Amino acid sequence: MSPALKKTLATLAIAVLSIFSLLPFYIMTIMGTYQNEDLFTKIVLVPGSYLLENLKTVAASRFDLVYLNSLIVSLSSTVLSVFVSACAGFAFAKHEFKHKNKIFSFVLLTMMIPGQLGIVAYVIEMRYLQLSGTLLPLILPWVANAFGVYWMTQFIRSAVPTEVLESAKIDGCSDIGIFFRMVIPFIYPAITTLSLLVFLWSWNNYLLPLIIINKPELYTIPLGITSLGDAYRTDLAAQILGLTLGTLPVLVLFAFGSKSFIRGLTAGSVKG
Amino acid sequence: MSKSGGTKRIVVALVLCLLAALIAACGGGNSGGANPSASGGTGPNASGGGADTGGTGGGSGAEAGSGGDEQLKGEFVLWTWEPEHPTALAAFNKKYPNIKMKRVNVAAEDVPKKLQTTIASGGELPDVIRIERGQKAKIFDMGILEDLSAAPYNADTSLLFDYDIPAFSVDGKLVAIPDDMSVAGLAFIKPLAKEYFGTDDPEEMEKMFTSWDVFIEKGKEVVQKSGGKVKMFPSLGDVNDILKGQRPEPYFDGNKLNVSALESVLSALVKFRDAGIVDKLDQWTPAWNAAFGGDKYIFAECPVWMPQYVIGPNDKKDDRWALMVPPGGGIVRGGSSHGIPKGAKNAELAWKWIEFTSMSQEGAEAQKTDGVFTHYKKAYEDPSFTNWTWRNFGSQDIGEKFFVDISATTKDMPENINDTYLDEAMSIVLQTLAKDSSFGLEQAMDRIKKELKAKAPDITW
Repeated sequence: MSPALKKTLATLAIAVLSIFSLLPFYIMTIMGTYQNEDLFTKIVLVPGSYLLENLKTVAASRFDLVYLNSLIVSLSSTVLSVFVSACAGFAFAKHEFKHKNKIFSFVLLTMMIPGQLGIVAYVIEMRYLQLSGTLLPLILPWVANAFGVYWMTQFIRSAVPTEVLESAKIDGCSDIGIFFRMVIPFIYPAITTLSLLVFLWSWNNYLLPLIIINKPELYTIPLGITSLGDAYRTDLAAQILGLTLGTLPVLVLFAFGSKSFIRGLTAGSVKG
Repeated sequence: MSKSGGTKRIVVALVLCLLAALIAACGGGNSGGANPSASGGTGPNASGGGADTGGTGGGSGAEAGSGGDEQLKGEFVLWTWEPEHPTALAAFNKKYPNIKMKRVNVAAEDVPKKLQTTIASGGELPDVIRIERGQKAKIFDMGILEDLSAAPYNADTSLLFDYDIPAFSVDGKLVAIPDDMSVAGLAFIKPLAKEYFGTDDPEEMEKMFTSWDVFIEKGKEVVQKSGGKVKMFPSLGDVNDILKGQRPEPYFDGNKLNVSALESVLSALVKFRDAGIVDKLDQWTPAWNAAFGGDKYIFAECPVWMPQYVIGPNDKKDDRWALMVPPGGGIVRGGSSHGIPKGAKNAELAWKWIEFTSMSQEGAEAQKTDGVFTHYKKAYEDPSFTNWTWRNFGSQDIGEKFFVDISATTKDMPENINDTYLDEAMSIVLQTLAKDSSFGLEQAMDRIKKELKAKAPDITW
C-alpha cells in the first residue's frame, strides 16, 4: 500500500470517528432549538425556531445564579485541589520522612473506597460543622483528592530532577521557594491535566449537591437543569439547551489547555 | 534533598492535614453524571371556562374550602420536581396569608435517594414530598410517611375516589393524597374506526367492544381487511399498561408474588401478540410518537395527560380522535401524590396545603385553572367542572368521559417495592415477547423468575 493511500485511509478513518464523536454533541445543540414536544417526533438535524423561547425558559430559572454557583464551586475546587495535591505530591516524591510509604499507601487505599460509602458520614460531618447551608461542602472533598496526590507524586518523581532542587537548596532557596520557583514550572502539564479533570468532575457532580443542597439559591448546574420547565411539564428541550450552555466552560477550558492536557496524560510514555 | 527539622515538620503537618481531609471527605467527591428527570406532564390545561365557585365540599375538605386562617404562620418545605401550580398557590396564599411555601427542586426519580441519605445522616426532612407514581412503592416501603387518616390530619377519605384509598394506603393507613387525575381510557382514530367497525361513536364502540376477546377478534378482522397495514395498537407496552391496570388482584402480597394474576396478564399479552394485531414499536420512541399522527393504529391508551402531551403534539389534525371506556374499565396511569414525612417540623402547615389543593372545591377549581384535575370527588358532580374539550377530539367532552364514565369503572391496586422489580423484569420480557414469536408464557414466566431472583431474592412464588 502506497504511503499516500495509507494517509488517505487514515484521514478517512479519523474523519469517520470524528463524525461519530461529534454527532451527539451536534444533535444536543440542535435539540435545544426545538420545542419540547417536537423532540419526540423525529431525530432533529437542522436547527429549529424555538431557541429564543428555550433561552427564555432557561433565563427565567435564575440560570445565571446557578451558573455562578457552579463556577465558584468548580474553580475553588480546582485551585485548592491542584495546590494541595501538588504540595503533597512534592512531599511524597522528593522528601523523606517517617512512615512515608505507609502514608502514601493509605492515600492510595482511599482511592479504592467507593465514594458513596462515605457520603452519609460526610453529610453528618458538614451538618456538625454547620456548613450545610453553604457551598463549602461541595468544594472540600476536592481539596483532599487522593487521585490528585497520586498523580502529582508520580509526575514530580519523573519530571523534576532532584539535582535541580539540590542546587536551589545550595543556593539558599527555602523549601517554599523551591516549590514555587523550581517545581511548579516543571509540572505545568500535570497541573493543567489535573485542573481540567477536577473542574470537569466538580462541574458535573450531581450526587453530592443533590443530597446536601436544600436551598434553590445554592443549586449548581446539574441540579438547576433538572428544574427547567414550565408549570406542568419537564421541558427537555430547555434542559438540553441548559446542558449545552453548561458544557461551554469545559469546552473553552479544554480548547485552551488541550496541549498541556495531552502532554500531561502522555508524560512518561515512550515511543515504541 | 536535605532533611532539616523545620522542613520535616512542615511536610509531616501537610501530609497529616491531607490524610485527615481524605478520611473526612473521601465519600463526598464522587461525580455522578447529571441525570435530569424526564418525568412526564401531569395534567391537561383545561379548555373549559372557569368553574363555579362555592363550597360543595364537605368534611375536612369543606373545612379547607371555607374561610381563611391567619392564625397559622410559618413556612413549610416541599420537595418537588414541578414548579408549583401558580393559581393554586395564589388561592392558597389568599386563604392562608401567613403560610409560605419553600420549594426544593428534586427530580422525581431522585426523591427516594435524597430521602434515604437525609434520614441516614439525621438531616432535616421536608414537610411534604411530592411522590411520582413510579417512585411511590419505593417511598411507601420506607415507612417514613405519616398516617394522614389519623390525628392531627384526620383526612376525610370519602372526599376522594374509592379506588384512591387502597392505592395510597399502606397497612390500612392512608400515607399520601393523590394530587392529579391520571385515569386512562382508550382513544381511537375516528376515520379508521368508521372504516373498519362502521361507527366512530364512542358509546357504540363501547357496546361493540365488550371484552378483550371481542377486541382481539375484531382486530384480526381489521388486519385481514387492511392486508396487515392497519393494526389495533402500536406497542405491546401499551397493551401491558392497560391489562396490568385492570388486573383483578395486586401482583404482590408482601413478598409473595400472585402468580395467577401475573400469568393471566402474560397469557393475554401472548394472545394479543399471536393474533398479530399489535405492532412491535417500543413505547416513547420517535416512531411510537409519530404513530399518533399516522393512520396505522386505531387505538391508543389515553391517560388524562395524553391529549395535551402526546396526541396533541404528534397529531396536527383536529377532530380525528375520540375517547371511550376500555373493555374491562378504566385504569390509572401515572400521576403523583403528596405525603408528609414523620417528624416533619411544619406538618400542620404542609397538611393545609395538601388539604386545600386536593380535598377542597376551591383547590380543585384553582388547580383546574392550572391544568390539573384533582381527586376531589365532589367537584365532578358539577358538569361545568368536568367539561373539557381538546382540539384532537373535536367537540367530544372528554372531561365528562374521563371523569364520569371512565372514572366510574376505574380501579387501582396497591403496590409495594417488589412491583418496581417486576416492572423492570417486565420491560425486558415485553421487548422479547414483541420481537420473538416463539417466546411464550412459560419462557416469559421463567425469565421473570430469573430476573426477580437476581433483584429481590426474598420474593416467593
